[in-house]
Amino acid sequence: MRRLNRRQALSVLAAMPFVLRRRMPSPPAPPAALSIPDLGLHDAPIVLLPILDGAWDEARLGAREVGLLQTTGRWPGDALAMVLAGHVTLEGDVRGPFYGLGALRSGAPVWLKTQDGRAWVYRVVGRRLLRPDDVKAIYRRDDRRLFLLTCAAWDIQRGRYVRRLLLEAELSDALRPG
Amino acid sequence: MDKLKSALALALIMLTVVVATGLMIQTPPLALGSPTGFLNAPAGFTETPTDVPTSTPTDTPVPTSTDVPTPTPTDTPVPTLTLTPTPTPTSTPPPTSTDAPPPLPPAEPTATPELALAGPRIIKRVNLEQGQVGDVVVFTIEIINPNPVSIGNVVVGDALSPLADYLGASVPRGTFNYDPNTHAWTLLLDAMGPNEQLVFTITVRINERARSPNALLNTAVLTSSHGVTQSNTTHTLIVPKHLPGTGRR
Repeated sequence: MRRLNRRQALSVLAAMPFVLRRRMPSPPAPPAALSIPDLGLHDAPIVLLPILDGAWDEARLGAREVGLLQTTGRWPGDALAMVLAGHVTLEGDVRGPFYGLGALRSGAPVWLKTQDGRAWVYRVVGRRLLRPDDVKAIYRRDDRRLFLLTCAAWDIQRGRYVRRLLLEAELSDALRPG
Repeated sequence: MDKLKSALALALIMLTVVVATGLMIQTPPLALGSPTGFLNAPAGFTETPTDVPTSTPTDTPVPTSTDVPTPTPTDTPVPTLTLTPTPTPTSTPPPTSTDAPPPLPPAEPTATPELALAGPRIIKRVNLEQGQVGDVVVFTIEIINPNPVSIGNVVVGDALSPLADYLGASVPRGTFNYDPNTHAWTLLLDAMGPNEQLVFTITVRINERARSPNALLNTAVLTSSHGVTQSNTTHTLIVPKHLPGTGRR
């Protein structure tokens, strides 16, 4: 049997935590921040958007915050697709975090950082316009899917957005902090 | 020098542990595509693929000599038929002489065939995973007698949710009843024939009492001469009526 010299022995010891860490499954962690480089959006904080009195509490959304809709997927790899909602505009025509979402090209990267420090890369694969009451469209059994949701189609006469834009992104890769 | 040898020995032991651990632990995660040079990667992240939770293990476990094959569970219980042998009646030999003691009365059979019956099965399905007020929900219930003999006194009970109004049911045979006060639905079947399988449906409509994020949970129960069997629980999530408003001006 070949004997290791001192340097080799030390390198084996040093590699142990890395080997063990790579082989151990990681527990799921909720999303913490969202980046969409093509929109100029970097590390927008993700908050949980709970259902209160039968409706999602959109008051928690602001000029920076993106909301993870309660009852949809809770983390990357969950059975249901995650749905993140964000404003397109706010009062005074202030741009929201999802301003320009409809113009994202297919293949554009969407970065998701989870609370355990890992990053998940999704790529845009499609988009749909929904009616505001088309709620079931956002529930999909797909552990690799991420939906981004915002308002669309401003109606001047009614003074409100009359459609919702649903952007579909598919998991492309997962990275660890370097 | 001795210290160095000790250190090397320790390192070898730990290496063995690492290798053994590596063989035993499967990496779970999502099967991911290979990294293909991401543009504008946020600072602080490299493009090293990492272990990602997935439902498809990518590592092939290496069989070892200690591996014990695990039987694959099936949800189809195989009916077991256990027959207890019945003593074969033998003819009484005729008396050979008049002095012989009187013949014994013929022996009565002391054992009868015993069937070890598998329990009947009941499976419940629902047509909607997400529902809203006004939606019609159809529960499909399948009951199976897996035995080669009939079972008796078959009754199916289903305590329907008060979050839904009963609309009706469709059954191939038997008589059913719905009690609006208790929301209890009952089907009387009497007997199920050998290996008989029955499918029936119950239809309800989600009412105004349902409020997101509640859920319509439902379980059916089958009672028979063989005991009580409970179905799986179906789950219909009540979702909000509208998507969140995400734009103001």
